[in-house]
Amino acid sequence: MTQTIYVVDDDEAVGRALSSAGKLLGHPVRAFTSPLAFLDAYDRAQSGCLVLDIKMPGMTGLELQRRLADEGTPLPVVMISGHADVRIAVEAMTLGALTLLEKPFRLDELLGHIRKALVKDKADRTDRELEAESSAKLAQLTAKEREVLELIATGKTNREMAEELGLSVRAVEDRRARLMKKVNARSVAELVRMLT
Amino acid sequence: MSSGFVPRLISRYATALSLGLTASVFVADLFTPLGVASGVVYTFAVLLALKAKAWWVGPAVAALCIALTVAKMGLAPDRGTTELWKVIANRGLAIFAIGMTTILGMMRRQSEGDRVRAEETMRAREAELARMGRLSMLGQVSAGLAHELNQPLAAICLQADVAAMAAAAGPIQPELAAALQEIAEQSQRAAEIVRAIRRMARSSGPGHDPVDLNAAVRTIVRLLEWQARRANVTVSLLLTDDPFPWTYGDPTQIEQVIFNLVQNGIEAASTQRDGPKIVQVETIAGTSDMVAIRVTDTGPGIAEPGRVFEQFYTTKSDGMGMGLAISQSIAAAHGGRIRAEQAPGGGAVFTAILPVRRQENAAA
Repeated sequence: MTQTIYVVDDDEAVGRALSSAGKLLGHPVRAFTSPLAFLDAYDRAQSGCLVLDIKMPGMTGLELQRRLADEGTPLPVVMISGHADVRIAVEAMTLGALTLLEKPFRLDELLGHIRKALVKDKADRTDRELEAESSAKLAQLTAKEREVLELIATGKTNREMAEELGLSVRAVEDRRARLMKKVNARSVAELVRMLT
Repeated sequence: MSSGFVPRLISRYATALSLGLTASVFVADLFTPLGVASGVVYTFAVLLALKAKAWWVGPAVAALCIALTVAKMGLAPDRGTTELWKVIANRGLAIFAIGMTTILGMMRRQSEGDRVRAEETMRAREAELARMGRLSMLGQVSAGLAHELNQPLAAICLQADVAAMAAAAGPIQPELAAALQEIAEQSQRAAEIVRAIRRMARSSGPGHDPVDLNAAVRTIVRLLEWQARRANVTVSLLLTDDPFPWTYGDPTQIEQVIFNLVQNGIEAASTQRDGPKIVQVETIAGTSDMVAIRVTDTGPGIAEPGRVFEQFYTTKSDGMGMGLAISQSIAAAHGGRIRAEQAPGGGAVFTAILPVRRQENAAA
């Protein structure tokens, strides 16, 4: 799967420099001079990373970062700034930026962080897919099976569950087997992982 | 201060002139009978001597004159038809006149000296504020330059690195590769310099000392008093009574803001041909967390209210256009701002709003 390096900086010269730097890694680079232009063009399904300037007219880098997080399609961000103060750095990191580079910075530094960001996005996307898969599976369960599932997660034995639900141990065992099959879980541990 | 020819001559040769006068009076005194009150003329010699630079010349000449007044009685005792008591009263009066002239003259010298010294202190203080103003202007200009240079430098540094890396990978003339490497390194060096300037500009933020605005206003108005007097402008104070909430920050920087606003007011008011020339300075305890200084003048008002805070914008023939720009940036650095408005009467109103010093701020 190819990954795209997105660059958003309102200074065109800096944008061009970042593009030529990104191309050295052998990935396609797409540069934008405004966050809104990026939001229009960004293919949410495309894995990659975002090299993002903080201070831009219209929408700041931090706002763009927040917007992507709210949409549920975050990209790992390498923040760059001409004048980073501590407050901005903290805010960027809280919003999930991998780092904040103060302009001007060395190529090695930038490429190192872009590489890390690309690796992180791949892992993030796999996690998100698994999560989506799990929740799709969990959605197939009936209310009664769901009840049993939640009790399993709290570590209750079949006997305790039978008591709590007012069922026979046998009925509980049946439900348990059914739900394990539905969600395709081989062990209780795997089942619990889906829930989280 | 007088620049006339005669006064200048007198003050330069005061000692010689007064000694010459003393000698002539003494000779005239010797050849007139004791009955003539010639000794009184010695007071002019003393007055001359008091103009001398050294303080002791006056008293010394006075002592000499008194001695000569007495000596005449022994040297040429011919008193014609005058009674002895009249002669003694005559001489006594002369000695009294010389003595009083000396004492009054010395007192006047003293107060003049005090006034000159006070004026000198004020000038020195004003020069210091002006120097600070120039320094912060320089700081602001270099910070602005560093800011503007940073973006192109970022692009240059990165492109130079990219070029050097690409050159290292491919078959290329070694001179070209070395040149690219050199460009990358030197642009990085330029970036370091710019970074250092920016760091310095950032670190010189305002202090966190408590500042009493009423006291600051009084100090600055006292400083500018002679300027106002020279320009024939009345500066009136309308200070909100103590306890007035204190603000916090750098006392000198805040004084600088008040200085700029009041000085601008005085200059504006002084340009009015007719009508009152007044600058009013108020301190206002506004809302719970802000205080303000308002400077209102009866000058011509503000031509372009939107531009007065721009750097290098000025309406004065000898202005740099930095005073208000610096004041605004100082106010901003203190968490406040300055507003410029047209006064209802036609002049200008500048209001500097600053945050009140709170306990948590005090701890910072």
